[in-house]
Amino acid sequence: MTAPFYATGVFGEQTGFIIIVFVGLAFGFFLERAGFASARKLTAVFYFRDWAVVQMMFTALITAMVGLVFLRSIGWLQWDALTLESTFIWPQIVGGLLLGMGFVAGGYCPGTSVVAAASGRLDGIVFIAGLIAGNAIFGFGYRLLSPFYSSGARNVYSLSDWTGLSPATIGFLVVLMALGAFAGIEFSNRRKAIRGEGTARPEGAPRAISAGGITMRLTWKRLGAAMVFGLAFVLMVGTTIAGSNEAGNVSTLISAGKDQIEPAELASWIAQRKPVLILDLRAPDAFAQFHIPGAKNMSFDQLAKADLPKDQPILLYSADGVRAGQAWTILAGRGLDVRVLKGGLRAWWAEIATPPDLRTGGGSGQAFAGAGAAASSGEGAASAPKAPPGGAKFKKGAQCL
Amino acid sequence: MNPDKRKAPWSPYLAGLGVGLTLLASFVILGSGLGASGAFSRATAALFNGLAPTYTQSHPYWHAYFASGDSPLNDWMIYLIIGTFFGGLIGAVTSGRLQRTVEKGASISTPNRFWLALAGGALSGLGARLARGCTSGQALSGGAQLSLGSWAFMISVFVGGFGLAYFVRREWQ
Repeated sequence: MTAPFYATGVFGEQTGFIIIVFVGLAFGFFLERAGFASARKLTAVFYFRDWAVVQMMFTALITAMVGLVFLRSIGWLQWDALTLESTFIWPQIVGGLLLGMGFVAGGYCPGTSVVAAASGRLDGIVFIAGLIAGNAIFGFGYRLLSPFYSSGARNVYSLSDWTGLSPATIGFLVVLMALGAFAGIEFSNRRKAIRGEGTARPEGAPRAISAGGITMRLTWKRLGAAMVFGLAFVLMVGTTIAGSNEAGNVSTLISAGKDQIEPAELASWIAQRKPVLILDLRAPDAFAQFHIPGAKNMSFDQLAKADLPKDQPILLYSADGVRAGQAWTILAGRGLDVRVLKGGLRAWWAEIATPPDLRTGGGSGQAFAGAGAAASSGEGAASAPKAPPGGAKFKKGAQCL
Repeated sequence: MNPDKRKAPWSPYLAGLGVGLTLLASFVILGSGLGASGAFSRATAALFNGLAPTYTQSHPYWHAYFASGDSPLNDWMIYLIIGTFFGGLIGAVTSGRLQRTVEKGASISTPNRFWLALAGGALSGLGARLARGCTSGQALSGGAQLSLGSWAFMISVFVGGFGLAYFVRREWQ
């Protein structure tokens, strides 16, 4: 059994809906426990009074990130089967600025406003009314906004794609950065506590006990933080090593250039109707959303058992080529004519499928895939993209987040 | 609710660990992260669908919510937000923080606080749609995936917040 369980068919949509309610319950509960139902607590970060927002967010982010990077590196989590956030850099920067301004003016962000409303904060309810109004403004202005909304498109584009560093290395740097930020926050909190005690000690508050209280709290926090980061470091170091091994395998493969084909060459094969068996090694969901015309979807297990033809080339591809490279090492030993699509589906996107949709596409993930497939069928292939399956409800995509 | 019964908030590290593990579980079990703003987009579409179905179902953005022939509200994001609401309620009841009140500084009136909450909500709603997500869906979930756009978004949120903070300082004093 590999994760994510929903995409790999462990349970159906109805069960998924029940599970998601419990995920929400936990999310809401922890937000409330952090004190984030209070707009005053949340906005205090913008006045350098309370850094809980930064502390909580970065702890949550690195906890999840370390888990994801680790599970991915041991091959237990199918990365391509996750709903990955697409990058549309300009609207994301402007949207972030607007949301940040809304945060300090309104006192909440969308998630915390729900928790605020649940705990009786009337301003939280008003904020939610504002959210609906903002969504209505977006809807009414959509025709005007849509060129900007789809600008700066990079599809799924990560910090490691951008910098060329492995996900584990980036993860490691993020943990270091968070650690530095936490150390700075703890230092400034302690200084404030000491200063506060020196100047404005409440009447009758014995100095020694309150000082003791501060020390106790800081020690407890430090202990928790040390545990989190100790774990993070161990996992990150482990996965960095695992990641470099993986990169080593792939680079060996890349050096044997004859076993790879360029996206343009594959496009011309398809156009000439050259017999080739194209195998897509991504998750069924991702396959259903978009695939190279004529490709068959196959899992690793199926591939290992499959009776593959010896008289025609077999072309393997995955999202970025890593999994296809691994599959190649399994199949190449069997005396088959196995090739790997250079750069994976991402390169196919960039070179074959993408150019027309940046000008004409609507900006949704769906339009993206549709326009991409139209571009590739323009190369002479006939297959149309399949509609997303019923399970697409769990796909955030661009439209439904 | 008796204020004496209120418990202090958890350490932000502990709460963050809880949210992080929740997020990780969501990825592992369901394949997707957390998200809050999408539910409001769907609620808006459902609202307009009640008022003007033809318009909404042929709207260039909202039509996608009706593509499955289903209500836009029958979606995982809605179930997630319902869970979040009740999770918050359970948290507030058990911590003694359930209280009908308005969060504001002493130097602003309640009506003015409401106007700013409304305006802030509208800015956030618009911003979240442009950015394809909010602090939960974009900054947290996309950030954990190390998506470039999500990190750009997260940095922008803090830039926007710190940038406007001076001008609304009276709201929180």
